[in-house]
Amino acid sequence: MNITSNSFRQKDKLIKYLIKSQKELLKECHEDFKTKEFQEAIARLRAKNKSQNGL
Amino acid sequence: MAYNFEFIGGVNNSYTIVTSSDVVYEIKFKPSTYLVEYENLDDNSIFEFVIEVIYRPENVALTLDKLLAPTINEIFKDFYNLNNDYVTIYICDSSDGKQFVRKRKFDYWFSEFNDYTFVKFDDIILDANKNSFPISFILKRNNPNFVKIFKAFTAVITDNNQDK
Repeated sequence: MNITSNSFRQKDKLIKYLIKSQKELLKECHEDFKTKEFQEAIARLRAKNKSQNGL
Repeated sequence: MAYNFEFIGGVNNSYTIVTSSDVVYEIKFKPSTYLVEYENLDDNSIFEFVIEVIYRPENVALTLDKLLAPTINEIFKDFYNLNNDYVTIYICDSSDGKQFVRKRKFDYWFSEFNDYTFVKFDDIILDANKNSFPISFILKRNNPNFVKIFKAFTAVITDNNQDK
């Protein structure tokens, strides 16, 4: 596979990009938890767990 | 046996799991706009993966949960069912210096959940200070670009690390 020269210029930024992106994603996860959509999904899953013995 | 989960969707393809101890996890597959710079890689097929505890009851410790690994497997299968070409990149959270502890945990999960549908390549990527970070690529065994992807990512990481 060929890799573009543009990509090579950016290669040293890869780990910085991945760590920054990961931090943003992890932060986003905790914000998601507060949303109505997530709370409703979590409530449905809790109800399913409750209805299934052993879970 | 696995936990129930829900696909919430959104830009970063969120899933959520609630365990029997009421621990809530979120899993995301974020389209990786950075790595699509590489030729011949489909710009819709590369994702960054994270898994995070977003809620834990105060009295509950995060101990080994045997249902978690098969649940992650089900989520991977659900997501990859959309496209056999998908590739997931995973680096462990390094904010507290425990990235290799997380790597071992993820390796355990992967070995537990993988039914040979997926293949994981592991490597180490270095930053400018020579700090090392475990990085993994997960793709389906039947990915039509399997060899190309392996070669491309190996080359990228080798090249990245040679600068250090």
